[in-house]
Formats: sequence, structure tokens, C-alpha cells
Amino acid sequence: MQIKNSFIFQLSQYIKPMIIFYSIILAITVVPCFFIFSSEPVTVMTVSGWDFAGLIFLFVIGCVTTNEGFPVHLQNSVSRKSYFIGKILSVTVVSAIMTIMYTFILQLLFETAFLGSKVFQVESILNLIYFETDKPTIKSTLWSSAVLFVLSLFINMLGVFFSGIYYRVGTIIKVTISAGIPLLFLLFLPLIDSLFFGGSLYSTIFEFLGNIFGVIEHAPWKGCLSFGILFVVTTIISWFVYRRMSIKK
Amino acid sequence: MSIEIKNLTKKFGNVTALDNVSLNFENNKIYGLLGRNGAGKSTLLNIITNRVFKTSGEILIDNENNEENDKAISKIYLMSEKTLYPQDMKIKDVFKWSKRFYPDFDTKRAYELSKLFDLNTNKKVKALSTGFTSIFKLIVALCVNTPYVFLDEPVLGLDANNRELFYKLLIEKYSKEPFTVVISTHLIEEISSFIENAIIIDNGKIVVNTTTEELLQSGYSISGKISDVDNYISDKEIIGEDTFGGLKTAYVMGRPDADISENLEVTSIDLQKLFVKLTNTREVK
Amino acid sequence: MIINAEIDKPIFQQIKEGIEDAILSGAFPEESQIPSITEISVNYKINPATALKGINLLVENNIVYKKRGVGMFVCEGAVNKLMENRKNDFYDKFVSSLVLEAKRLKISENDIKNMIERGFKDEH
Repeated sequence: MQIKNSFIFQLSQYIKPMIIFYSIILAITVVPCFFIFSSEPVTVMTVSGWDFAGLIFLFVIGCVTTNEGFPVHLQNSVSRKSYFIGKILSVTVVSAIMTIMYTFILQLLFETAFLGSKVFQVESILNLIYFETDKPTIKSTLWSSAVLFVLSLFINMLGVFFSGIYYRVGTIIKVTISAGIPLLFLLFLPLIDSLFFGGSLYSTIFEFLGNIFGVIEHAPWKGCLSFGILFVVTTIISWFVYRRMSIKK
Repeated sequence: MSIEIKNLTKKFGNVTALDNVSLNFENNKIYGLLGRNGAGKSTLLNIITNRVFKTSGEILIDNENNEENDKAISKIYLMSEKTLYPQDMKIKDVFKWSKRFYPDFDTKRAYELSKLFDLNTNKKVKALSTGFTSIFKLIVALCVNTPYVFLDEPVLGLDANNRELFYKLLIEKYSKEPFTVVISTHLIEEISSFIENAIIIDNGKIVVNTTTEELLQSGYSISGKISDVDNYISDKEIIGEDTFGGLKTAYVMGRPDADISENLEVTSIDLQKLFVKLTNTREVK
Repeated sequence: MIINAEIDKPIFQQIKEGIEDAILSGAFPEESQIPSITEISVNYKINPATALKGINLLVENNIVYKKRGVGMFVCEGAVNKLMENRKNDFYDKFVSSLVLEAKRLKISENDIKNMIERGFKDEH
């Protein structure tokens, strides 16, 4: 019973940010397209990165829900177990909604609406990565949507994981994590790489990642599988962060 | 049906917040959980409701272990000093969610009480003053209808009128349908008239756990000339003494002797004084 | 009626005596309804169990009686009964302590009699 209640509560935490997110997307891309379409019928408009914007959004939302969501569950006599199961359910449902919104509303609907005049095109990054084509087919669209869904689950849960860590640690560690991780990957490792490995470290990493996520072989099922495993692993690790969580003093 | 606490110990690092605490909260009684700031009252309530994990010991809510047990902890509503509701939540939404998580929550009554206390339910949690923050949490506590209601410093920031109103509402609800109430406070005189049992906690230990009636009769004060008083108390357990010029007042445990000399005056000790004396001695020693 | 948790007398005793006073003064005439346990406990911020204990003393002494589902009422003849009881208590409660204090202050028996006469006159 409390699992269901917690799920509904956590889902409600996503609703307002999602409305804001889609309002912004509409405001900055779709609305200007209509405007251009009506005045200059020959202009071709390519919109790219909506799928990745959604992923960043899911990560950020995952990062901020615990601070307010967890204490209110304690106040309402919900165990951590029920809260966490509610969390997994809400992450799944929100990832599904975001994927459906992207694939069926933004991509398919708008594409179909404008396909005849070839003026408006939604470019899927995943489609490009896995199929290397700017002419997506139904099959490629569905496959990249499947990857997008599993990737969303993983990214959202990663946010939940960091959110739990942030809740448990003090300000100093919080800042260290926030600044440290980007610095490590964007500054420190590239520096080491170019100094000692002549760039081969990063190319090896990318090759490895390209392999396990099926990018090189153009095998989206590999992407689904690998991101799925990452999602499960992140979920398990996150549970260890959440299972003994207390209210802050 | 009761809450049983057996040999409960809680350590925060090297600090022992609760030291081998054992006590019961029986059904349908009003308890006063009394202690100075930092005595361990909030920690005890937080552990019973599993907001914080214990270090060792056992807690049973109606014979069920409380840890990670929705069914057990749902029987308790703890109104804590700290506000755990999201800052952006409106009070009417607090009521709405309370109804979802506690099915016996009486929404209609919550709005009635909001009117009575002049609380604007369209306001967000963060927009409320300290007094109104206490009020909205008290309203939830009075409408939640769980078998156990814990109130941690319930009247924080409330003016005298609202305090009076809250106490009356609490007693009214209790006398219509009894439930277990635990009021944690250091303002003893305000609740001494209606708490049935008093538990005094000091430095993480239970110092007193008895009925209010017994506690009031457990000690008395005796005053007179220093020599007379000293003579009288020589063979008695005293919990404190004040001297003022040549006069001395001693606070003595037990009942006064039958044959007290006319030079000595015996008076009862009120709960507040007893509490101060009982929780002070530990520090002096 | 004033209830004070901090004086020597237990609260239930204060409740009992408070209602007796009210009956004697005519505030609660015989066969009239007295406040319920809830009303008493809410009004004086006392535990209902304590209020019940006080009321039960009155029931035992046949000062008030319970009508099931209706409430509590003052017994017929309660006023006379209370007066009798109070008269019996009068000597212990007032006269002996008066004499004790008078002795301490060295006030003579005659002086006291005069004072009592003066007291009765001032009443009028």
C-alpha cells in the first residue's frame, strides 16, 4: 500500500518539472519552426539533441528529488524499502513517458506533419550513432527509442544515486564530488592521456565503450543490454546508499 | 497493544545519546516525556518511528519489530520539531498527502481546525512563521487518527491563546476517543495537569518513569533554620537544596515523617521543580 | 471552580470539591445536569481519567447519579447531605486551626468570640 502511495507521490514530483521542460522545448524550437514555415516555405529546419536534452533533464531531476522527497516519506511513516521501490517505479514510468513523448510526439508526429514539404526534421542522435543515417526508418526509430528508454532509466537512476550520496554527505564532500568528477574526466585524464599515452588512453576507452554499447557494430540491442545492466547495477548500488538513510540532524 | 522498548542504545560516533533505555508506552494513555535540551527525547522518538536507526536493543510496536516495517510505523504519527514536509508544498497539499499515507486522516476536521487557528491553507510551508509551522503540524497530528501520536515540542512558537486552544483540542479528542499520546517537552507546568505518566530522561538515561500522581508524591520540600533542616535530612535522600540567609529549603525524596517539628515547614514539590532538581543533580556530581 | 495542579490537594479531590461547592451555591440545582467528563476535562485541561475519578467519588456518596446515555445529574437531597457533611468537617477544618493559630498569636478566647460576632455583623 505504501509502495503505491510513495510511487504516486514521487511521480507527482516529476510532473511540474516535466511541464516546464516541454514548455521550454516548445518555446525555443517548435514555435519558431512554425513561424519560419509560414514565411519561408523553402527553408529546411533540422532540430537535433532533444533526446539528449531529455537525458540531462532526467539526470538533474534524479539529483534533486531526494532532499525533499525522502524526509516527507519518513514523516508519513513509509519505510526506505517502500520508498525505494516507489522510486524505481517512478523512474521507470517517467523514462517511458519521456521516450514516448520524444519518439511519438516530437519525432514522428512533427516529422509526419512536415514531411511533405521537407522543411522540418527532428534528428535523433541515437539514430545517427546506431544507423549513421539522416533518413530514419520506422525500424531505426523504434530501435533508437528502445536504447533511449534504457539509457533514460540508467541516467535517471544515476541522478538518484548522486542524490542519495549528496543527502548523506556534508557540504565539503558534496562540492568535491560535483567539481571533482567533471575535472577528472575533462581535465585530469585527458592531460594524463596526452602526456603519457599520446591520446591512446581515451581512444581505447572510446573504442571499448563503442564496443559494449554496440555503436561500432551498429547493434542497438547491445546498447539496450549494456545500458540495462548499468541501470541494474546503479539501482543495486543506490539501494545500499538509501537502505540505512536517516533524517539529518 | 503497546510500544515496548528494550535495552535501547544509540551512539552517534563516540557520543552515547541513549543508554540502555527500557520502557513501555501502554495504550490510550497520555505520557509526558520530559528532559532538558539534548537529553535524548527527540532521538528516542526518532528511533521508535525508524527515522533513525538504533545501535542496539529492541523496539516492538504492537509486538512487531519497527525497523523497515510500514505496517508498524504507520501506527505512529510523529510531529517533529524539524519540518519534514517540502518547503514548496501548500498546506492543503500537506492535508491531501496525509490522507493518502494515513487513510484515517480526517480532512474535513483539518480544514475546521485550520479555520479555528486562522491558518491559511493556500500558503506554502516555507511561507509560515514558526508559530504557524507548529500549528499546521499540530493540525495534522490532531486529525491523523493513528493509535499513537508523538508530539515533539508541540507548542514551539505558539502564543498563549493558541497553546490553550491546542491543549483543549487534544484533551477533547482524547476524551472522546482515547489514543496514546506522548508529549515531549521541557515546559512541564503546561502539561502537568493532564499527563497520566511522566518519563524523565536525562543524559540518555531514564531517571523517572511513573504516574504523575506518584511522581508528585515521591518528594517534598522542607524549609526552616539551616541547623533544623540539616538535622532532619541527615538520614534522607535529598535531590537538592537552596539556602537563603539563615534559611534552608531541602528537596527530599519519599514521604515526610509523621512527627515533624513545628519549626519546619513541609510543602509539596511541583513537577517543574522536581524535574529541575532531578535533572540538575547529575550535572553537579 | 479553579483547578490547580500544583497545590497539595490531588486534582480529582479538587474536582469533587469544586462540584460540591457549585451544588451548595445553587449553580447546579438538584435534578439538574452537571457538565460531562469531556466538558470538565477540556475546560480545566485535565486528564479525563482524573475527572472521572473525582466524579466517581460524588457518585459513591450519592451526590450525583448517572443516567445512561444522557449524562450526570444532581441527586435529590444532595444539598442537605452536603451541608451535613460539611458541618461535620467544619470543626476539624476551621475551628481547630483557628484555635491553634490564636494560641500562637496569644489571642484570648474572648477576643476570638468578639471577632466572630464582628464577622457576622459585617456580613449584613
